Amino acid sequence: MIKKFTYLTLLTTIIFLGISCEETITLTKPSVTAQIEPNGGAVKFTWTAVEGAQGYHVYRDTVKISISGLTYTETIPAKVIKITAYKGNTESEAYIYDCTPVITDNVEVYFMSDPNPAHPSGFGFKANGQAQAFSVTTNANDVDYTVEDRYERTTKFFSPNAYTPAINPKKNMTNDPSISQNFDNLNMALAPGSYITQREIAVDGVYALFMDRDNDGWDTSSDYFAKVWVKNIDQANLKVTLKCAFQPRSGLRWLVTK
Amino acid sequence: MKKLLIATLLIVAIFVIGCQAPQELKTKIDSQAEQIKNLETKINEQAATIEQLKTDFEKHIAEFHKKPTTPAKPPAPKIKPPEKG
Repeated sequence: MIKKFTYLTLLTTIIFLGISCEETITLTKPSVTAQIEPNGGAVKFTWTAVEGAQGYHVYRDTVKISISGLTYTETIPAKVIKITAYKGNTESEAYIYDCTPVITDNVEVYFMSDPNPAHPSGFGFKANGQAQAFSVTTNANDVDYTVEDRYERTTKFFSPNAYTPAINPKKNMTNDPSISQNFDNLNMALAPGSYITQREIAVDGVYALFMDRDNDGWDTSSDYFAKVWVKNIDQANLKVTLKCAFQPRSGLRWLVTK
Repeated sequence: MKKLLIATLLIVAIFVIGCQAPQELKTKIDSQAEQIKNLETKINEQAATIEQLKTDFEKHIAEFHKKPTTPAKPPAPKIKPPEKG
């Protein structure tokens, strides 16, 4: 009797210990490689398997997608893509791919016909993505576009290489054909092949920009995309007021600002 | 003798009178020269005053009544035909 009781107690103890000692799960952050697809409309993410992971969650901003494989191509523009490994309710630290555009509001740029040397007639995007007005003489290399009003009685965005001699060798273009969208609704710039170096602008117009700065077609080393809203054209004072959003990831056309 | 004396007196008188005239004339000339000098000095002073007034006037105009000058417009450069991309 005592022997049976002892065996029973031992068995119960073993079973109890087995149930109460749960395994602690630790999932490491996925090691992800991101590659922008040709022409900049999509991003392909690839990672190595995380030990112990049951699957992976991909977050397109707030939208969650669960997958089991080790690759995912996102074709819908977003501000931020996150990827985690999961098992049950446990989730790893996230890999983060931030492609939020840099927004600059109320950039004032003067017409090229304005003779005042203190009135810059070009604008460009700095290394941090902010837009700024630049003089076409003292800051020629920083100019991405000029506001040109001296030809055909129109106001246009001109590429710096449209002049002879060129202001600088960049081939920066504006969308052609027209876009009919408000600023925040333009989530993705048009694909390369849809742009022109001299583009007439109008008040309230929203324009996609393709900056092929090395003039060799689309690439991910030196080409950038942006969008511009022409908030005002002041003919009396020879200037325009712009709101700009610049995609800091070279070659990527996503421009989500909402 | 008498005649000689009278002649001498006449000669002396003429001589004296003749010398007096240039002396008076000289005095007059000197006086006029003095006046001319004074006038020259006054003219020079007034010319300097006028110059100063001119300078002050121009300075006033430049400071308070300057019209903005319209700089010459730079000529429009040549441009290439629009390129697509």
